[in-house]
Amino acid sequence: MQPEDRLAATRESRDPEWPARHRALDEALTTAIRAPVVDARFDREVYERIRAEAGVSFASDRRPMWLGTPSWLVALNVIAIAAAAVVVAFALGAAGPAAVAKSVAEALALGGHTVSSSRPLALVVTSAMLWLCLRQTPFLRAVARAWL
Amino acid sequence: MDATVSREPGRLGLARDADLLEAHRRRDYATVLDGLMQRYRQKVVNLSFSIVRDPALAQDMAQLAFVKLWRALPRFDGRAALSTWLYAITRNTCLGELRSRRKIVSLDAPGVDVVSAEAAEHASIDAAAAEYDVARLLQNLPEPYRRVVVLFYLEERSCEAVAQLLGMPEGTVKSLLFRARKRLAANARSFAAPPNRRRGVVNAT
Repeated sequence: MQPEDRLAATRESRDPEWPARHRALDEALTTAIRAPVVDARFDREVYERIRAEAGVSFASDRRPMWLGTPSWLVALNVIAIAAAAVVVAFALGAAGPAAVAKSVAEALALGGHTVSSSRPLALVVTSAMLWLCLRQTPFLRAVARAWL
Repeated sequence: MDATVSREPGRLGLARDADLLEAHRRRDYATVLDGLMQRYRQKVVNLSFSIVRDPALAQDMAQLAFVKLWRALPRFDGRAALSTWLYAITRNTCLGELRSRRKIVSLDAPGVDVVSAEAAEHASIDAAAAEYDVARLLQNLPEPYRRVVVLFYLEERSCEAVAQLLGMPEGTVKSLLFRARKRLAANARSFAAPPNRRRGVVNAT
């Protein structure tokens, strides 16, 4: 369509004579074109749909976080947690009462110079580091959210 | 969010757009939704109807548009009017539905217009009551012309209202209406209702 034609079309569409020239057709269109009339029931149905949808989204929010984790990551986490458990068990064994008594005796035998005096500190630091690492796993993040 | 939709609908009366924007600023989304539904539900249904041409589907799409609006309200940035935004959501909802229906139809029976068939079933465009076979006349109009004509008559012949609903300049609406009317008048004779459906003198031109 040429610009002049477009302009003419726009101008002519303002022509109020069309309904007069095609009165029967215009009246037929006016009579026949009817959209459904809505009222407050429409609003209630919208609210029902929103409530139904909100229920669904809340249900999905309650899913444990790790449910959406890829299986390879879950496997890695299981391995990491198992390894961490072994390390912790080893550390606890090393820091048990017998081991501490032994290290104290060794320290006394060495004349107060404590080779193993840094061991409890190392244990604390190791435990803290392990905890910081492990809490980044989906399992422990979910546990932390639920319990902490 | 669930708690805020437990309010009884329709308690607010007709709110002004400025009040609704203020409610939005307060994050009172339930008030915004309630106000928009009371002010614009009929326009949204009209718009849906002009696109999907089926009364039941039009209501369904209009409701879905309000649900989508509710979901998106926290992201509304106020750059456009709330009504403009609502109309855009409605248009996209209806057009998305039509697209998905056409996909389903194309797998089953290519070339069948499901919406037209449903529209014919519901007979909302009451051809029998008119001097002309209006349903057929409209069905033979190209889609953009048909939407403009349907909305023009639903919106009390206001090109401005049609332009707002369809998200296009008023000049474009007038141009489309002009061409649609020209085509309607040309087709009126050939598609005129048979004599047993006419109630009076028919003068197409």
